[in-house]
Amino acid sequence: MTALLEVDDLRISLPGPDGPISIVDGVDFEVQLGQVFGLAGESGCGKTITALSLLRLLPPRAQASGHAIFDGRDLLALSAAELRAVRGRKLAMVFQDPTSSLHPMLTIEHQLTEHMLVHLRMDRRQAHRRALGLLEEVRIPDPESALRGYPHQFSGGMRQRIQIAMALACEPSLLIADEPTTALDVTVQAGILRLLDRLCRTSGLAVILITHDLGVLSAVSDTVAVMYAGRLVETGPTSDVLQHSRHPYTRGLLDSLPHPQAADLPLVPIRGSPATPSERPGGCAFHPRCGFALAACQREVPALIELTPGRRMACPVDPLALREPELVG
Amino acid sequence: MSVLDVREVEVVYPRRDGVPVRAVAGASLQVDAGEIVGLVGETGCGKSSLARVAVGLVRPYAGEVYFEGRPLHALGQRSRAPGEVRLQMVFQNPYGSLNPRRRIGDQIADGLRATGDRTARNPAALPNAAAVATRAMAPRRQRVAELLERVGLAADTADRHPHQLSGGQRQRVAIARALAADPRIIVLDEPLSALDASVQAQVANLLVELARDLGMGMLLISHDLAIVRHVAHRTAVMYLGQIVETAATSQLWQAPRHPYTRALMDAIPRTDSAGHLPEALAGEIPDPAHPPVGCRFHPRCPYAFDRCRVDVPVLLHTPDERAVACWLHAPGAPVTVLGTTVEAIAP
Repeated sequence: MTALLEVDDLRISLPGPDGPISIVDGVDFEVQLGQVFGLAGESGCGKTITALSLLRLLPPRAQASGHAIFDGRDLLALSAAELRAVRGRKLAMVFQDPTSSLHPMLTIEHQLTEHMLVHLRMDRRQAHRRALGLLEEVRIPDPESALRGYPHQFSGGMRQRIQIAMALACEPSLLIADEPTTALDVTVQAGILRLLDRLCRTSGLAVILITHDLGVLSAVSDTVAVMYAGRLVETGPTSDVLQHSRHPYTRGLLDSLPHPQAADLPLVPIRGSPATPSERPGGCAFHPRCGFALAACQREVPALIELTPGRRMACPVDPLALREPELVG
Repeated sequence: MSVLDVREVEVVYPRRDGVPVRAVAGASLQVDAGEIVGLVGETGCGKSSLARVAVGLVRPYAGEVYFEGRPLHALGQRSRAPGEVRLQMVFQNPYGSLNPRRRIGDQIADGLRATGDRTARNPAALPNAAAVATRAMAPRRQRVAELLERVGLAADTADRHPHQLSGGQRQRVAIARALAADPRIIVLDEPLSALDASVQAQVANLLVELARDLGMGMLLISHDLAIVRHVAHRTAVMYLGQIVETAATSQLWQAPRHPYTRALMDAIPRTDSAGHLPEALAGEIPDPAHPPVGCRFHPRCPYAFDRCRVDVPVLLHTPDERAVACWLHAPGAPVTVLGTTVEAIAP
């Protein structure tokens, strides 16, 4: 099976006072058609900027290298005109905060039909009909009057649904959703997750779901990649990674999360706080917070080793298996 | 009597269109010494308004707040009544609640000045090693160092500015500043929600330690039921301005009685869910200016029956020290989907 998106050795740096600061340091992953790929990590780990680089929305002085092959073309090498034809058409994005990503002074109809008029060259009537259908699809009550409304007239959950409808307007094959439910209540979040899940199953949409919430990924994503300080530390099928995590960081994240169902397990935090991009330690960036770190962890960047096909992990200690990881192939 | 006693409080805000909004429509809460009470609910349910009333930042439209048995004065323009300094608050966003231009130490010392340094006499608040190491310093500076160590920060954090700290460290500073006033009660409004998962657990554990070691009562406002479960002894669930259920946290999780409590729990995504989607709650939280007639939750409640659409359910207290406002638990309810009726559990 060929992947819809293949990211290979993605590196992003931003200018700093003492030379470029590496934000993303050699990330590679694949996204398959109709699947949800979850990208997990704490703030500052580089997950959002990874997504922005795919849409070429990086800050002006950022440097990106590597490849991101989408539909046979390298997103990182597209010309401005080629990019315009892809962005918003085949590749769409949903941002965390729908309040700031919807225009407060334009009607929902204006914002929802804009790219149908441009990309799909629909006339207003066709676009109106499609907009109604989209709002129904994302379960907005009374779509006809919703189209005449403005963003402030909707609740946070409804705004996020409208944003998703906008992203879906041109039937993209890949939707990048950056913390789409973080600002929402759990009851509303559950509805959005169900919506994303339904879209993937019914229309073959692929989703890159970026979130710090492993519970969200457990519910909807097919594969996950856990990111720490600009590198992937563990990837694989979601249930495998979350239920048999091998990397100490993944394990630590899971232990520090409240377990709503498991009885009174104490919260076990990871010591320290996530490394900021300008102060990332050498070697394995997680070593100052890791309970299993060896001297070598301070010097060498651990390679992302394939444990089984599709399952990779970057920790030479592999304390949770209590043995050296078996190399495949 | 509880240290903090909120009785039948109402908060009413005027809205631009002239319709008054009852953000809190009659809510009562008690917090005892050493007890952590969680207050959970969706955005807009009035939990932050209730928190603000509980510390006196907002004057209640009706009802009373008692702190240490005396009625609490709403905060004036200049200063707090001397006896009420020991009721402290920690806000959600430590970026916003710390002054970016002042050193951490000076900001914590403000709380010491407010209490006349009385805190130095509370031996329980002093970690011994810290007390020895800092004896040479000026008393106030020494006390700041002790407070910083108490919340798990290095003493030299006092010389830094907020921007030099991470989010978790800043929230610890905000807690240290509240501790400076030697509080009997701290009200915390979403103190964990701006923090990363790994750091959230650290601060959550710190709150548990502080309540246990210093005998301090806490009212913890959060939208995150799961974290409240690990921290709070008792949990109160709020919906559209009213408290719909209170119980010991473990009991609440074992057997939620209010359909809304259950809906909140079912919506939490689990890390071991293996593709099982969390349950969505139908509908949206209604406009608090025009709350539904009868039970405020009935339009979204899967179990609502005729009485729910007419009569307002009262908060019924049961001998197991739980309370629930739901007609399903009153005699004559058509279904008992949520376990026993109140009648059945009464002795």
